[in-house]
Amino acid sequence: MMTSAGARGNLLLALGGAVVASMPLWAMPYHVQLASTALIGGMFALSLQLLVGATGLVSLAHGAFFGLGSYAVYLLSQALGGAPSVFLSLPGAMLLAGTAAAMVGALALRTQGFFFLMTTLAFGQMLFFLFHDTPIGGGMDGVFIPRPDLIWPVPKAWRAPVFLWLNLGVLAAMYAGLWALMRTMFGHALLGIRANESRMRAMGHDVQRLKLAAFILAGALAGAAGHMAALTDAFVSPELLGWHRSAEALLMVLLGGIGALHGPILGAIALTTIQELGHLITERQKLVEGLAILLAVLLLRHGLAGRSK
Amino acid sequence: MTGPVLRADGLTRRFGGIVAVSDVSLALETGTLHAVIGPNGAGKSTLVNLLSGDIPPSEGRIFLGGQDVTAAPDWRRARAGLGRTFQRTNVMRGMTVRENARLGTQAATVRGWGLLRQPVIEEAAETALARVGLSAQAGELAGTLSHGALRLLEIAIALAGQPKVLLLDEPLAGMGVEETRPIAALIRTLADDHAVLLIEHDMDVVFSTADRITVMVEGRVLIEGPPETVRASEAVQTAYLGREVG
Repeated sequence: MMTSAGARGNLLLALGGAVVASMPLWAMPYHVQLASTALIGGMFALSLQLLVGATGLVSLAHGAFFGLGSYAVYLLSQALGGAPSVFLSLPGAMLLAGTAAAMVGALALRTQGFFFLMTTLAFGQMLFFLFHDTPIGGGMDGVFIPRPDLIWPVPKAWRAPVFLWLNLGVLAAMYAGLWALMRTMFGHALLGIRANESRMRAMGHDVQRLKLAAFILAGALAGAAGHMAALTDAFVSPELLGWHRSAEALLMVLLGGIGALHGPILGAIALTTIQELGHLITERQKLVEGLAILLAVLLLRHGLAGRSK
Repeated sequence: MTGPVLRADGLTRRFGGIVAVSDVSLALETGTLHAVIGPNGAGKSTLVNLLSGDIPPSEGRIFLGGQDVTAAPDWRRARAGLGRTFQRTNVMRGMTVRENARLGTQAATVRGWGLLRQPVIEEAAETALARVGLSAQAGELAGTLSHGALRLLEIAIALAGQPKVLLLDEPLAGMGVEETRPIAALIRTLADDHAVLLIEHDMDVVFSTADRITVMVEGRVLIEGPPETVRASEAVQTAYLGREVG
């Protein structure tokens, strides 16, 4: 069963959000940017939680949908000959990623378990190489992109705080939306599939369609996260689509807790912090990262979110 | 008055070289408790899985309410009014008893965008729980129920979808003598308003409750008829029942 933060938990999350929102007042610009990275990671991992925690699907194609969301900004700016409006680029990114997820999902969801994992890996890597080996996305080294236009132009000195607040807002909206979704009959059906797929089918649930709907929605939300990454960094590269992005998001989910909706947000913040600390104290940062994650997973059976309820 | 709710014509299922079910035909009618008995390996469970749509038949056709559902997947048959229980308890153990039943009703009644509404307490689910006697435990996690209660929940989940046909695959499996009698009585009443197919090993229960009995041996129908006829059949006695029933 997936739990979500109760009234007290949501209050704590809101408090944490307020602390993050106030960072421009007391933190260094570098750390404000780092916080944005963590928030984007939180969006990405949260979108994956809809598959892993809610439906019981482990996908390695998720990074590709994230990257497609980023590249949507580049493709739109190419097509328009300039920066698109964010009101065009954000829906565009979600549409592109969601459409790709519909196509991948329609085929991959015919398989189960390990084979589903491998099929999603294959489709994800196909999308990666599409941007890595063809000129469609501006080449394998990546490309600087014009940031989508917000309502008002943002002066350079204000970028870090404005993007931080924007990312915080998108993450909060995504969390609130998924929180509400898990309370609908659709959300309950997904939890049923995760708990016992064969029984759900025998009851008469159209399990394939429910799974596909979750896969498309999760893909579109990953696209939104990718879009925010492109907007924040003004740079896209094929690495954004790679399978290791999916693996990283899975780590965030695992670290934060598979059984809690807010787990991935905690996991993303924790992983970003671990990576940064590892970077500070040693050149072997991956080793530190690995050890920290291993310890966390061994010591916290239900992840950082713990076992609420 | 009407024809059979569920009808199977010449069902055959081969697994490689093995014929698990061979040319089995049967018809289930509302108000009738139809039991299928036979020694282990006779193909009883395969028959249930063929009827429910878990596996496709190699040959033969299946009609549900006059519609040919031979090619329909299990969930479509469930929506068309076919409820089943499993030989091995198959419920959502991490969810409450009520949610297990409610999902059964949701499957049958809520479609498309309607799924974006919040779940409500479903009358059909509550009625199903009341009918099997699990109302008092509705708020408990299914995983905490006793084996006997879980077997009842199996039935309640199927009932919650308000099916016309019930396929009960060994509902009494693993039950003690004490528990058997009330559940046998329950199954008897289920046949009042459903067409019931009962797979069961307990001969006392079968011969005291069933309206019709099909005896399967090695995938084939040995005999089909009312209990007296089956009991009297010499072929059945030599092939399967021995001298226990006579």
